[in-house]
Amino acid sequence: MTEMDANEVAGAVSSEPLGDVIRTEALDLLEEVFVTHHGYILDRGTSLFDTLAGIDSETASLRYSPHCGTLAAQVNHTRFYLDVVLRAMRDGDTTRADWDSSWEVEAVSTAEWTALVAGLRASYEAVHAFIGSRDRWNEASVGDAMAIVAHSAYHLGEIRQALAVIPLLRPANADA
Amino acid sequence: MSDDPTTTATATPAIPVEEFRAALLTMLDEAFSGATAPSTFFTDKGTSLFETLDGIDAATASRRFSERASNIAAQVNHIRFYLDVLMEGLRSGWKPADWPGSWEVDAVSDAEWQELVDRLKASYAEVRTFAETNPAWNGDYVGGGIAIVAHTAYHLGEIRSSLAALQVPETPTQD
Repeated sequence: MTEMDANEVAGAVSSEPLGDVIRTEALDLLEEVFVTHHGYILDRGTSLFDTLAGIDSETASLRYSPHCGTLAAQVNHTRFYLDVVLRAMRDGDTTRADWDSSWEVEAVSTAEWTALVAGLRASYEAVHAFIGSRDRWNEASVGDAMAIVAHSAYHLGEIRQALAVIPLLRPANADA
Repeated sequence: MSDDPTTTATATPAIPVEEFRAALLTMLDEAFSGATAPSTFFTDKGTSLFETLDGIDAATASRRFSERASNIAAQVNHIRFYLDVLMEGLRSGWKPADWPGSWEVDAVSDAEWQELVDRLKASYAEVRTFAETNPAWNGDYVGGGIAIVAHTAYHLGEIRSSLAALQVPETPTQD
């Protein structure tokens, strides 16, 4: 499932400050999950935005299981998570978030789907800019950066697996 | 700047190695064995990889709900293979890995399924020991650590999505 790049995996100990190393590596992983291949964890062309570019609003509106939200809800939840963690990292705002509400997205129109993806991209860019400009790290902020990468990767996995199921559902949905 | 471990716990330009290590171990634990803290970062309680696999038998692990998706047994083998390749690369340099081969797992018996899970747990134990003890973290190690968390999270998402999908009929309606 990956084409890990040898240059990204093994090497000698460097004298680069750990904070700079963390920023560089966190950005690489963030970019790989959302926009482009760096050879760590994904196959080429399977980033989140690559994946979403191939999904129309009709597909995004399907529930592939009664136990799961629509793909549109997955996108909204992923965006919501970025916004919550960014507020915590940047502003120190740890107000309890209404996570359940982030899943309250059902069928979407083409315009609504486009707006959801655009909102996710804007939140991603805000997170990327913040991490890219950060020169002070502690355990909490490192954890937040890793969590953003991991949470987004988790939902990318759910979305891509759902895409393998949805063709099986289309006949039933079409008849409904 | 230097990574002075005596630096205070507040944000500083030179993050102490132990603060990075603590964050990495927290994320590894949450992905693999479950968060020990009351709150979680990116999973719901009880949905870590090993907690998820504990509820899966060999028959379920063997099922493919779609020709476009591998079974859960292959997912587990692939996650273990990734850990092994990464650790070997960090120890002794990169060698070409047979990534397609890591997916070549079909139906498994009870014993085979147990062995796959046990091998994954052994590989993870090795990763965790490395994360606990590695004294110096360069880009390869930091990137490798974050990549292990992210790669595992990705496949955990696929596995949990598969479990939901397996609730749908194996034979879909054909028009």
